[in-house]
Amino acid sequence: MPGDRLKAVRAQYGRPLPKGLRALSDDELRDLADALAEAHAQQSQALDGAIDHTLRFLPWPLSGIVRRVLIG
Amino acid sequence: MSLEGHAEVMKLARLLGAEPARLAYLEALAPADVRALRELATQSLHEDDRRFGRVALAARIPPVGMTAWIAQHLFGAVLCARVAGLLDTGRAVAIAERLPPLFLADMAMQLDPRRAREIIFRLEPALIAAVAAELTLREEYIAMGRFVGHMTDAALVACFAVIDAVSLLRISYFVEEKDQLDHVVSLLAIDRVRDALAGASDADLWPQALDLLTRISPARAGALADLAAEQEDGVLGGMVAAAQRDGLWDVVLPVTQTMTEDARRRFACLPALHAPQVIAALVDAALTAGLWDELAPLAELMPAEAQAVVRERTPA
Repeated sequence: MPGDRLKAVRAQYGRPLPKGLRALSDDELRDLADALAEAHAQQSQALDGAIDHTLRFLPWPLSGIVRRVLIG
Repeated sequence: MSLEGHAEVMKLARLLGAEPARLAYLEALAPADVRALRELATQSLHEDDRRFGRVALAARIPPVGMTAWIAQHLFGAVLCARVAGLLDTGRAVAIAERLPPLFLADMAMQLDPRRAREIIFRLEPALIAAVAAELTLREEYIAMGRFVGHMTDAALVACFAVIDAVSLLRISYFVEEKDQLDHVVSLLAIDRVRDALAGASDADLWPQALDLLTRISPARAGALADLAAEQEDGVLGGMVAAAQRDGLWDVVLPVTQTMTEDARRRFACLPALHAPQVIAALVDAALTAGLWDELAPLAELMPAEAQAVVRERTPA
């Protein structure tokens, strides 16, 4: 159902969506939600990679502690 | 599809790391809706930035030079772009000034300029221009368009000096605010505008040039349209071909209203404009978009044969 799919997209984007999105089909709404999920995944991978790169010179127990101190 | 809608979809695709063709279905929506969606996606993707607050705090401890070295060699551009907006502005500027333009260009591609506005305002124009030159080489027009509204006039002028005219036209397509674009164009030397218009045909950038004319004040659009009318027939023929191919006569017709009489006459006498299929498209656009008041003065300046075709195509 487009209404359900719209709710799923809204959950993905976190806030009320522009009203014009009601004109999109079920498949299009699904793709929109997928596109943002993929962007989040790419971003997480890039940031995790950057943090690992930053901490790679520290010995293992210390790198874990520094990681926790810096980004929780 | 509107030009503005197309630009918005390209910007959203860039943000999401998706191919614009994948999101082509969004071009059917109002551009404002796509823009609002991009805003939501930006907020969503930056929601976790606060978790880097301690990294920003830690960056206050070492001397600036060492922090810059750590930023470049250990943190990398992706992480720095996230932390930049969380730093004290003075400290961030001091660090940025120690970083090479290539690294700052890497950062700029990841940065949301609204989150680092104060930093960008305080950077030396020469440094910003060096970064802009690198981004131009990388053809990062969307990224640069996002920064335009967050730069001082001095920085913009410095950037104009290192970006070729055709690239400026490409960037203009992605500038966020209409009011800003009008001011930005006012800072550009007339010769650069002329160069951009002359290059529009070769680079197939007439849609972008026409979009620019719709996003600035009518007075300035008229002045630019007059400059366009000074171009050779071949250049203007490229504009006619682009308008015909992409269905942009509803954009072109209002622009002709802002031209001087001489420029409008020059445009009206352009042979490419008199092809029957072009006149048919002009009349269709005038009828569909309610632009008859715009077409009539143009048609009056056309040669008699072309005027006859306009009359033939016009419903009684």
